[in-house]
Amino acid sequence: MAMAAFETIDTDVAVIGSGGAGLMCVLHAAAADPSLDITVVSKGAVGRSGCTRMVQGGFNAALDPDDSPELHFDDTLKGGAYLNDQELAWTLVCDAPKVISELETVAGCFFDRRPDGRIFQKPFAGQSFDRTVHRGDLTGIEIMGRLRDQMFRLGPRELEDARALDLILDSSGELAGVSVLDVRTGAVALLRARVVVLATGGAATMYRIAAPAREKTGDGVAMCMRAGLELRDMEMLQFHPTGLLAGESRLTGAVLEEGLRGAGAYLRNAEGERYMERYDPERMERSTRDVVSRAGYLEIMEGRGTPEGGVLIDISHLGIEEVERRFPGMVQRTRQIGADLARGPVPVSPTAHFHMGGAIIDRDCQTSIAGLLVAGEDAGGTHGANRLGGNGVAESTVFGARAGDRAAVIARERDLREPDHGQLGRSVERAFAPLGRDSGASPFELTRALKEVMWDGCGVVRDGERLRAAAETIDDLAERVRTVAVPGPAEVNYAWQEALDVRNQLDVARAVVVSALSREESRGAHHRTDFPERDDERWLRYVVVGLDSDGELQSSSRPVALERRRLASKA
Amino acid sequence: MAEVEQATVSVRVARSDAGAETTFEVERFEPMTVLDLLLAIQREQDLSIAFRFSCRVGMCGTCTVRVDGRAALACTTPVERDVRDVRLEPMAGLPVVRDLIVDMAPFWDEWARVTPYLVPRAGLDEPAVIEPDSEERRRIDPSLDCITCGACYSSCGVSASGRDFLGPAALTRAMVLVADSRDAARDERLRAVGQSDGVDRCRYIYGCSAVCPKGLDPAGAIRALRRWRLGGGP
Amino acid sequence: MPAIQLLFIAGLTAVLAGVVGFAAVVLASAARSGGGPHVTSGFLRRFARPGRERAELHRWAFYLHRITGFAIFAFLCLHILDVSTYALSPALYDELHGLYATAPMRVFEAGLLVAILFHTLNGLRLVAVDVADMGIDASRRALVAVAALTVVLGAAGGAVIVAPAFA
Repeated sequence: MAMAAFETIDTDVAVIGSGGAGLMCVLHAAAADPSLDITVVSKGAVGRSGCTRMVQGGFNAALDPDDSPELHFDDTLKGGAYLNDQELAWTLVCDAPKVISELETVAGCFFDRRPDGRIFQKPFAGQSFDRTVHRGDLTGIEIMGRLRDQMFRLGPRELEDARALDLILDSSGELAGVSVLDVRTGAVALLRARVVVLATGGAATMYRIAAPAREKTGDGVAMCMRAGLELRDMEMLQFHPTGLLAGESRLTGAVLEEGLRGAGAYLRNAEGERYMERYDPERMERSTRDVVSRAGYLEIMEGRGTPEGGVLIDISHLGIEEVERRFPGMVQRTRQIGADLARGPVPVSPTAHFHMGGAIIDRDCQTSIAGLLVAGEDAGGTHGANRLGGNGVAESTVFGARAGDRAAVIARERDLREPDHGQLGRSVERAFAPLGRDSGASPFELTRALKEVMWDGCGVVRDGERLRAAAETIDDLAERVRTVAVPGPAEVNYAWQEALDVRNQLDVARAVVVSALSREESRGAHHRTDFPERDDERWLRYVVVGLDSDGELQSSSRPVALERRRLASKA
Repeated sequence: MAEVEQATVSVRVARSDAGAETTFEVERFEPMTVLDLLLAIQREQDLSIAFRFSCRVGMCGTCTVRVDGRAALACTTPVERDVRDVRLEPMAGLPVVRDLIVDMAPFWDEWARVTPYLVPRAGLDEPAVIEPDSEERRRIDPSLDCITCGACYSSCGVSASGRDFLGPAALTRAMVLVADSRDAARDERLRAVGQSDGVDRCRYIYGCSAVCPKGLDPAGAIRALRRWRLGGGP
Repeated sequence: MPAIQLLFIAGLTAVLAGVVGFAAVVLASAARSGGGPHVTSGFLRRFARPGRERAELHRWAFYLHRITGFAIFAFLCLHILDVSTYALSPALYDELHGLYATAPMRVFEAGLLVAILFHTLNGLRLVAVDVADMGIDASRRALVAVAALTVVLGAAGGAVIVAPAFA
């Protein structure tokens, strides 16, 4: 495929991704130094892509005088089964109140209030204090809407519908910029930048039943991997226990919020049994996400699921009016699929939701590549082996803000560099290859195959044998993705974009499976039937994977630094 | 009349490339949304069809199309069991990029003109203490949660016909900020909405309030601004 | 037929052609926005759906308001001219206004009455929307009342106007 001559855009800070982390980063970088030239690259619509937008529940922050970052920190570590990078978790809990204040006073958000006019905080699973700030059940829209509005004040360059392809280095191996494909025109640009911030979000869409928005195909993590960065905790992929089952509809996997179980919803299998009695008789349905997801998955796998392949959530015993009043959004969502939460049981299944793993960063989002920052779900470590509800949007905004602050500092120190044109050419060539082929695999088939293999082989419950089989299948798919063919022009070609997405997803999927194979224990979101116990003696370590110089994926593990909290008790 | 379940749905899609297929027979499944129709066409019949979506749960506001002429989110619009045919077109009043994808720039241009961000009043250093049942919040709260999907813009007989008009979405945003006691730019905003392309250009068509997928009432916001403009504020 | 009557008929034809042309422009612009091209089955289907869908009535009230407004204005221009013939010659005026008593002209006048009724009542509704802060439902009820009054008063007034031609 002949490629047009490409444009070079020089900028100080290139932010890849326009979700919570990306836009918070812009806000902070511009505040730190208004003279900075900032560019936002967004695969979809700026401020209207990704998952921060989809946050229902809320944002954890220790605001109350009786609460404290220490308590929030302990909850986060306990939830994360002590696999967390304690520096990152500590940073999260300390910065979260500041970010809430900033969202209110600078960005103009308005969160729900108590009758006395102060911010209301609701209880959420796994927390010792009511600390979740929210705006109805549409918290994400309030945050992203207001951050989007800030862009009109700050006026960064917005490359909307533009896909970042690869990190481009210079001839001495220093970061020079990013290759960017304009989805609308099919033109390629080289974005030369002093600082690149990756904030593209996770890759949970690689599962058959998955919750996130379509953009979230692990682009940032895959770019990091290809640039030689190490990734941690990649096996830690959270499943939300109650994803909607809507047959072939794209609605399948959409989350029914955690608050339902908090309010007393029952989970039943097809035989009508409240099966949580057998998994966690004490906490029953209110147990943590990992336990409830696993229980549901096992019920389905052992043949006690509904014909749709799910279990049933039932909250109708609270009464129609009560359910409609407390969960209007959820009731509407179920009615859309012909069920009715207020009047009876609704089929649900665990749904792939959030990737705890990602690039290794320090508390200022810096990586081992100078000038490259990673923020939000692309980074790993903050949540350890399991994320608490309400810590996700907190992470995106807290670390997005820190990345912005840091980017402003680095941008003053780092020069623009001349990219290695060979590498740039290879990046572009690889991206355009599917358009040039006359016949080959369909990208949609590959996506579907990947979703199946990840669900079956590396899902809620894993074992060595199935993981090895999954690894092989993924290798096959990786071969096939090299032959994928897409008809049509380069302009607005979403089949082509799907081909580029699935390539990134396959890179990430392989890292997930390899990491899952190497962790021979069960912890948090990672459960292996061949190693069903948590093993703190051997496995208070995090798994690190990365490509070696031959392009082979290597894994190792390192001990978790217990600098702030020792293992308190085996919770 | 008995409900007859249809095995297929005939979908007519407005295409921008000359000669592109416009009519598709899609096998139906239950439950099914308009977005599912489009995905099925893309996966099984025509890889080149262009449409936009992201979250598929009515929160991102990027999948707006006209379904049988009426602006709606593809993801939250069910294809009812008795539906035989569906006509899909891009939003009205916005330049088409390709097929069902439009360029939202005109929408955002209007949005930007009302100073859509909070201009914090002096001394706003921490979250303001405002009671949830205060007059102010009762006015604002029902008008938040705009997902900037553009359905109101497409459905407004004035905006969509290309007239200079701030439009329902931007005016709703302006109303929210004018009513917000934390904001310091009330007078500028009231001046902006009082110009000839502001609230007076509304022709009471109510297309905005009728189609808003989030149930907001832009027409009500415009009426409020009309009153406030004369009185200097809420 | 006297020349002055021919002239008037030509003028009236121009007015009617103008109204049709203006209506075409309005509907063409409607076709670009949300309402226009769906006058067919899709349009009926939309009306058949319950609740807020019927807000579509407002859109058509808007189009009709513009078209009747133009029609009234255009006729008024012609009417000023035909009345001003009195200044030239009362005989000429009488000759011309003999036309107003003919059956086709009476039908036209009845149509004019309906247009004036709708435009006036709908205009009052629009004032009421602002004064009484009427939301979508209240406004729709008012619109139904406007339509009903237009039909009732138009039928009654139309009968009075047309009746002498058949007496």
